[in-house]
Amino acid sequence: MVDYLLILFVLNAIYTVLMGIGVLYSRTVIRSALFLILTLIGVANVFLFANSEFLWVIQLSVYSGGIAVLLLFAGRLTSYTEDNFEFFNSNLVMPVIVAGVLLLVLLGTLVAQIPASTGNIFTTNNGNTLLEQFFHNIWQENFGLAFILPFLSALFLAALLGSVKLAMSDDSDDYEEKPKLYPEETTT
Amino acid sequence: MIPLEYFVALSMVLFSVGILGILTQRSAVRLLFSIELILNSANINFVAFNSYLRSTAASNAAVSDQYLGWAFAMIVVAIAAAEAAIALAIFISLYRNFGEISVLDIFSLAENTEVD
Amino acid sequence: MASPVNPFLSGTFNILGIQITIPDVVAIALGTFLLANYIMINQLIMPYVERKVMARQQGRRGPVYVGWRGILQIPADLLKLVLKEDTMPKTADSLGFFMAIFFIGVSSIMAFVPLPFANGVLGADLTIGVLYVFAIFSIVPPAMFIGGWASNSKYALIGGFRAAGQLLAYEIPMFISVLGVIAIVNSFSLNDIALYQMHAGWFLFSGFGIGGLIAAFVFYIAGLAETERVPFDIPEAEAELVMGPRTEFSGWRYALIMMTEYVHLTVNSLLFIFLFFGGFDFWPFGNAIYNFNGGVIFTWPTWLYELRSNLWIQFITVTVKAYFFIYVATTFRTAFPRMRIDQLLSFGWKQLLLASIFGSFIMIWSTGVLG
Repeated sequence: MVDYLLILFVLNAIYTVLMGIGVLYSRTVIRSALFLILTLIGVANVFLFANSEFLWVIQLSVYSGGIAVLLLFAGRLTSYTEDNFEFFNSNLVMPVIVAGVLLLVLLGTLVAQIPASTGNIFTTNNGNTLLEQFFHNIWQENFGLAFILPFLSALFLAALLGSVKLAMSDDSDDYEEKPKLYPEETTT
Repeated sequence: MIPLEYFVALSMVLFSVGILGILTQRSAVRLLFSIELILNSANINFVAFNSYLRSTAASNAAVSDQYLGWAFAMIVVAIAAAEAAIALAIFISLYRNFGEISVLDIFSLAENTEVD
Repeated sequence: MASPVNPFLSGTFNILGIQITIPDVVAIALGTFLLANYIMINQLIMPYVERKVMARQQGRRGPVYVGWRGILQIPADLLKLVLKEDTMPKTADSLGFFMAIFFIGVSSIMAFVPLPFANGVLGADLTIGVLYVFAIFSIVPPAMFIGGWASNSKYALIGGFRAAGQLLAYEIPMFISVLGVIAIVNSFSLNDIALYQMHAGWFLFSGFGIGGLIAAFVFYIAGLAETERVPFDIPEAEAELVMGPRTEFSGWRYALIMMTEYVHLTVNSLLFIFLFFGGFDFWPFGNAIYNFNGGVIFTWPTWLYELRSNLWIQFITVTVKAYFFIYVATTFRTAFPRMRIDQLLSFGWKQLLLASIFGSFIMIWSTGVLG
């Protein structure tokens, strides 16, 4: 019996990683945003494999529908001239390779620490799972799960207001030659 | 059901790709993209561990506990949205003041030293 | 998440003497294939209906030459477009130029999975139902933007900016106007929502006769803006921007995009029908008339219920309703002038958002879910 779900998962994982590499090494910023959207879709499909179809919806409609448009605007509104920085000829290449190998070794050993997927790997002494205990003690009792969505809404509203304030132009500094709509002295 | 290791391995590789991007890219927009990749790899872990715990250990837990991983993933998505909005605003005002958004060429406090 | 097609297929193979279990993925794909083909064949008739109706309203005759009263005009147009030369601007970004078409085309086909055509006849009864369609369609704004950017033309780029801004502004009122329906039915599945309306009457008349109307109005307006129909066809304002983000697409790409527009219109009409207009039920008043405490005042006769439960009558009802909303959209196209982009954005963010919140709240409040 071929586990076609596993095959699909591996194909999707390869696709996701390839598109993620495409984000870094594509010619223009908009292309790299396109690759980012494709990566986000791949990650959304990973959520489907983890039985979290609601998060699939969130990921698609908020991330690759809403945030991606913001990122596309960011790439397009700032006409960035591509630098001729050649990564493989610079003196960054050795540190990056060493850091990457170290990171992969570190994370790989962490992944290897996971025992075979049977039984509960996070059990603590009193029978609760570690994550459960953590959330009970720190998250739920102090903040309460019900406050997540209002908290997020307030945070998002604050961020949007702040970004609008940031992006608004100070008319005095940049556009001094801009004609005034309502001249102050109209007596002559 | 797909083993947990597969999810964690995918998350690991995606995280490494994001770190690589942060180390090598010069454009601020692409740095933001790399950060999004890292956030997504964290999200994969949240969702995978949540699904795993739901199926094995915490099946007798309360419903709100079984979906804590989802709550965290949603927090990550909302933070990413706020971050993207603020970053867009910062990029636009950077571009207005400096005429470019390559992070190595933007100095206002330091002397114009050569960095490579 | 088993597909309704699965028992049918398994039964067929059992008759042939083959014991086989079909994976859900294959069954869902087959069911979607059949239903989507039904829709796609209808796509050849809907533009014809629109052109004919619009011509009559403007005092013209519309297509007359190809086939009986010009009924073969659309297939002939499509054939011509497919056979035409496929041109691409020299400076265009080839990847973006291709991917935009790919996104837009695929998303329109994928949206048919949770849409039922009769009780239980659907690609897959997903747990996320309505949200699935929204999620699939939310890929379209960035795809439009990328398509406009990749064409490397000023009209296409401006159109892409407009399309992305407009679609974002109208997604949120659309989401919120559905909230009331979902909270009442307590399910995302369109089949469940339609069954609830068969029992309790259309959602259009719920919420003291006001809330449902407001929510339905917001949903329909937002749907028109999502599909970029007149009076919201600002991204492709013909007099200003040639064709907006679609300017540089020609040949089969243009054919695919035109088909996609009608598919979007159809899917939005079907969603509207299923959320507020009773879905596959032609009778607006439910099984009985209830008083405010839920007690039965008057029950409709049983032969009516049996008629409403007939699968073929439900199927025909859905089709007729879909064509009715094509007619309504066509009338809008003849009757209304185009809005300006700033009017449109402020209308979406300021008025429609408030109205959708009010409508959903009144709907939820009227059914006593809030307690």
